[in-house]
Amino acid sequence: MTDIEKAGTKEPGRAAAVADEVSAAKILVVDDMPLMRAMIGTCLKRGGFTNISFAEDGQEALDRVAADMPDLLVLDLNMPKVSGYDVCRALRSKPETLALPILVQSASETAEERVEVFAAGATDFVSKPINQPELLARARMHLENKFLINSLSNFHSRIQAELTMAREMQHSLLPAQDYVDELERQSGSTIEAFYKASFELGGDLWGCWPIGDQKMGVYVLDISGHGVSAALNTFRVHATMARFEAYREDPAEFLTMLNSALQPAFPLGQFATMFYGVIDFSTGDMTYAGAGAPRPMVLDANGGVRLLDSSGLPVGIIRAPKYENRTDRLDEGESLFCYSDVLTEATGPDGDFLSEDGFVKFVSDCELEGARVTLVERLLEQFYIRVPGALPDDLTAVAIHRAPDYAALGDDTSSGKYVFKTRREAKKVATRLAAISHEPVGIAIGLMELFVNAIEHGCLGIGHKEKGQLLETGGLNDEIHRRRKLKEYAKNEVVVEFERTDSTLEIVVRDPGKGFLYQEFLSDDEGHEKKHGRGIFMAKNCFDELHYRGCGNEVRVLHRFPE
Amino acid sequence: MEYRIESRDDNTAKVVFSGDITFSENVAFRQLLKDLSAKNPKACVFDLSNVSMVDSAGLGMFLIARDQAETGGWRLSVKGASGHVAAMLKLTKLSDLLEG
Repeated sequence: MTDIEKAGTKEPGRAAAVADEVSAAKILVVDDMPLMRAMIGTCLKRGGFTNISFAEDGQEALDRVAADMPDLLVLDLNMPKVSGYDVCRALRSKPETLALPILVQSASETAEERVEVFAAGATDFVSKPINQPELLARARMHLENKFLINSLSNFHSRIQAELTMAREMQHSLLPAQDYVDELERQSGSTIEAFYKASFELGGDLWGCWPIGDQKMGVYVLDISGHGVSAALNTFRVHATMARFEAYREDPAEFLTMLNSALQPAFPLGQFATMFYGVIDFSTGDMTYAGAGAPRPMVLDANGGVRLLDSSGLPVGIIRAPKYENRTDRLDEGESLFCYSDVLTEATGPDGDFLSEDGFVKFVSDCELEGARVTLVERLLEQFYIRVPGALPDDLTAVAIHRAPDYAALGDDTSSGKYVFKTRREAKKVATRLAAISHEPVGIAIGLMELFVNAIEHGCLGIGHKEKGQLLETGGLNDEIHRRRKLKEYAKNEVVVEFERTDSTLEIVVRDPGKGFLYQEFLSDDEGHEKKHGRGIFMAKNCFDELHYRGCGNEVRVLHRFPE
Repeated sequence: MEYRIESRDDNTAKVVFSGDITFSENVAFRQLLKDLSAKNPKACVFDLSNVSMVDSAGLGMFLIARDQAETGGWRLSVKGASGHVAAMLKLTKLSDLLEG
């Protein structure tokens, strides 16, 4: 802030400062005739310039420029050895002299010559014989331009630097990772959170906190508009929220208090849409209140989506809006997903935006493609494929995944076999097997990567490249359903066999497909860069051992229990 | 966003909007408010039937218009919203403030 104030107070004296800079400017006069050098030099001195040097030919001019960069070059065209044209071209070919003002003086005035001079890179032209007022006027104009552009681009890069810093500071308002880790441990859930500020500053914020031993509060908010004022208001809101810790257990009351504190301070036309929910992990009860945030989703264990009613007047508009508490549930195996409106409103290459309906379908489709705890990660990856380039607004996506009741779901036999065709069935198998492992979350992620591969690639013959294209157009699910009905794919199934001992869990996944050249996907060195093999690479990290067999249609993984 | 002001004989006005009303329309919208206050109508209707999308900044502009109407002593109402625009007005309950 102090820097901006300084820049502000500088403005009135700016013209005088430029005038000082102009008269002290370094001017290099290049002419092979001593008389001309003397005349131009005298003329510039009379005009108030104090820092003038001379060069006798083109080569000397280039040497002097290289040794000590002038602010302006007054250049003769017709010189022996290196001509004025050559000097222009040489200077323009180097980045450091690309913008150096070059004032060319010449006796000839033909249109062709002017074109040639400008084409060579001259900035402007003065006619010979030298007319003192004209030379001075042009020299001053180009120097003023140069200094103003310099000061403008300095200002521009400083503002850029300050915006970057402001974005980083805004990032620091978000919950720290170790804080989130602790909450995850306490609540037995996985919290997936992504936040990306748009190129301009924006006004998104999310946060979570424990309430007692068994409850957790989570909010997402979006301040209307963009830019510095919206960003500054996120700091205001964040600081104000800290004052109302006592009201955290009652969402409607919390929003009411927040509104009463913020409303007088918010400028007209600016407001914050918000959702605040409190989840009780001992009972699964959820209480929440909305202030016009995009409707959060609850995904049940089978991938079904229900939308929460987050309607309500945004914070900051009227003095006493009535916020209501609403209730819902977040049971084991369910996820709460909150997001900012850029996900429903950003337009893709076709000029369309997803809208809420489209986004719900998008989320459901993504849900099937992998383990639940990686939903947001996979969703955003696919979103960026469909909406490439910089987003017009901040992106926030937060999901709280309650762990399924593994104890009740686990397969308690020591060996067995599963057969399935769909991704929904695959998820159930993954959960049952993950439940008997030592690390259910990781094993479920790894198994789902392998199962989805076995279904899409092995059973339905969808190639990696083809899948990429289908994700871009959003047609993957339709294609999966279409193929499943075709005679050649209808009977294909994935077979999973497992064997558990006291120390290991061994799982073999087999599909009827043609397999693939697995050797190249498994080399460690390039694993991450090979996009097609990303899923396999992820799976590999989830198990103690992973081996493809046969033509690549069979994979065996091993999970060791700690001693 | 594009708009057309239709003035009527009974000193009321209708503004017909089309396109998207988003943050980037800030300047155009302020110009519209200037044009409106120059006409000084006793009532004005914002017709949104041809608007396909409104973002939070767009909603903020309606609030500014509402404030200007209150100060200038004229009545502002919003009509014809459908699809995404209607959903946004409902979600933020601004429909209660603006359509009433």
